[in-house]
Amino acid sequence: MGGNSSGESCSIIIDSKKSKSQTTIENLPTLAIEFILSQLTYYQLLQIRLVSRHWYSLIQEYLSRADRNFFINLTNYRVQWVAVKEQVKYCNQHQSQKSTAANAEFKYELNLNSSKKLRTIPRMSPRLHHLACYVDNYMYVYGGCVSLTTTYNDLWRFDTTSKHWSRIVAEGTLPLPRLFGSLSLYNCHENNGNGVQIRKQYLVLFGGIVFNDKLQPPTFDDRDRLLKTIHLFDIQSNRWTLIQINGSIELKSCHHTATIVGDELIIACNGHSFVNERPIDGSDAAASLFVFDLRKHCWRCQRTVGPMPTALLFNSARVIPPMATPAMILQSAKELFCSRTRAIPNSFIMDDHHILYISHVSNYSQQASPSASLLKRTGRCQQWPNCLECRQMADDANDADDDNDNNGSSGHHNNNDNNQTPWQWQPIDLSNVEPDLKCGNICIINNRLLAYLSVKNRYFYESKSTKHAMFSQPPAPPIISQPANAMNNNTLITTSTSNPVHPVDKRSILHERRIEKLDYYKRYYEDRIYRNNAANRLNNENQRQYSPITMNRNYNVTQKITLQLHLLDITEVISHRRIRKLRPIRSMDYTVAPNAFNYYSLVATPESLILFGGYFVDEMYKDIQNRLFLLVSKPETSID
Amino acid sequence: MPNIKLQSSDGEIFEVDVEVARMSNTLRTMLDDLGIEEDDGEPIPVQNVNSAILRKVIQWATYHKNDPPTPEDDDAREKRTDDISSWDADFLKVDQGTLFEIILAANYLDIKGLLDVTCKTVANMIRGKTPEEIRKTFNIKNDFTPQEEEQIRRENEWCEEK
Repeated sequence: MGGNSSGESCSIIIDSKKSKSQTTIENLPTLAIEFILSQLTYYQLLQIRLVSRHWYSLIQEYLSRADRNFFINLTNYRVQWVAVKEQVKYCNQHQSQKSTAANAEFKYELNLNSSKKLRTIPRMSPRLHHLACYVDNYMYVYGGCVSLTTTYNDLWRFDTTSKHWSRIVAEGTLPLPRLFGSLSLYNCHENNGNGVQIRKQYLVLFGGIVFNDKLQPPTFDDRDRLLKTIHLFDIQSNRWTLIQINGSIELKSCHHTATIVGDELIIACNGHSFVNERPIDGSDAAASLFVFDLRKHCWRCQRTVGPMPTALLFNSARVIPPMATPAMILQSAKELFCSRTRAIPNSFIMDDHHILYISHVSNYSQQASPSASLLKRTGRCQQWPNCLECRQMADDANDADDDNDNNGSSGHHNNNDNNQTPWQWQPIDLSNVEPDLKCGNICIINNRLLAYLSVKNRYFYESKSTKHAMFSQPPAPPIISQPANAMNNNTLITTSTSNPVHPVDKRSILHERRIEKLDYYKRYYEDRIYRNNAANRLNNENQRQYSPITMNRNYNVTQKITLQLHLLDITEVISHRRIRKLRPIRSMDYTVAPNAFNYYSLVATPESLILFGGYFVDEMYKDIQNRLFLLVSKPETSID
Repeated sequence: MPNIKLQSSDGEIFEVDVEVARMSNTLRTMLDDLGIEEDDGEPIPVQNVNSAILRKVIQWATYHKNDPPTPEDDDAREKRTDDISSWDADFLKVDQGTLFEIILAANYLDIKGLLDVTCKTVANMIRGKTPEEIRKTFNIKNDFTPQEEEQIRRENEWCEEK
């Protein structure tokens, strides 16, 4: 009997005397049913659960198996995008103080009988540059903005089970609206007062930059705009707490990379940071790593050895000289906003002693190559004191301070302590990855994979025919700087400060800028196609890709621009210091795919990746969006 | 090309090219096991497939016997359900019962290409239809209570079509 089919076919043996009409779809072998299901989109699958009980259980089983095997399927690019409709549930603070299960029930009841009430609930507004964090079935989204001067400080929670948003009505000291801060999850154990250790989860919000119209020139200085505050958000009680910072070090930062390992908040400064009012730049890269002790509430400067990843950290933003003119600062702010060169490097905890930093080119127009470094950290880990690395550290610094030392001066002491074991930077080989790494965001899955998205190739050729004349011209200069050059700098500032008076003008200006930016991207891509085409004329792949244009000259940019998934294998980071790209075995299903462009958030859950917000581009609509997409798995069928 | 004989479940004997028979993994394994290279007079029983269906299967296999093997990694081409060739589409213009029986036969005989194209045809019959239309198409009885149906509809609310 044929190997893989015998299992299924044994149970169903056709009686040849049976009339034809008696063979129904429900007689089909599992293999065939699953293959049929795999041809349908997620939306269609959910819909056809309504056909009958049999179909319902069939599809439920199929989908839950898909969820269970998300990681495996992802490594094979057997995944698909699902668009999630915005559904907001009112989240009362008293309700949310209950256990999450009770909370979910409450929301469900609301859902049953309150369709009228729902209309009065605030909507999740479109945003970009927001911070997102996944914690136990919920994705938390903080802040973000629609423009430099319109920033948010609201906190939202997306339930990955019910797919509902709820706005968190938080108590305590609310953080200021900001941009380019960091939000990280802090797991810890606290004494609840009765001597019982309880597990607590906090979101730690640090730094960022404040842009609002109250701060005008001449006090228009980065130093006044950068934040040094650290806020903790208690997930159980929905309360923000502002941390009182001890010690003599004061760090103000935005555009940094934050990582929490154990009780340490590790900040890698990227050129927009001041320590005790002194700017940190690439020349002082050795002093660019700061660690905040989340128990003692003090900073220390962490010494590092090894090849300093200045290219990784300090290319992301240009350092502003202290005496910069307002125009320069505004320019720099715009650069920050558009992340002209690079986005903030992403950091991923490999284990308690290794953090992987990886930077990517966030703007598709830039040619800078990505880079990655591994930071080897010494310090307490979960295996303490049985961990070899920890023991070594303890030997190196015998007089290391213990937990009881709650003295405010300990931070200062550490800073000057020559016995402090330096952490180590190790370069990571990215030769297998370049030059693909141009994207908005990277996320880590199961400590073994990195996922990132890039604009799908399709965009390159579909937009080509719109402006043929552009090909004879040199690459366009970055459009982001053009408004400033075209207009008088002062005029521009006046425009932005007078915004509250003329809200309509502001919107139209923003819209214009977006259009301009988009136009630039378009021209850039056209130029690239031209060059690629010239260089790879013999390449069949390219010829196949570009052929539609020559056949269809009047083709406009009307098709959806989709994001393409790329995966990086990081299992060899610690052992071989390299990252490999995972080549797709077969192409992915892009029937539904986000048309986001940049500045969205991407987080991983055990069953999906969640993409939210960002600057979107659609055939009719070019704007900041509030759409949410899930990347879910498609089960393997043995047929293909 | 040597021929061999296949016998359907209802006893009809079909003479086919060995290469056509070998498109079925089940038959190929059998032929290899038994060391059959050409017709030795003894027909090979295809127990689970009746003559009408076996005739269709042989017709399909004969037409496709010279197909190049499907490339394992076709990076550029997206997998689509609508890539059914017009010959296959015509070939599969049969009543539902026959279509399902061809699927069963393709499954039993382990003919990947045929299973692929027939399943895609079924998927196309499902795509874009409402649950009610699907019930009508496949003659399925709705055994949900209105409450259950409402419950599932609510569960489905979050998902957007595009």
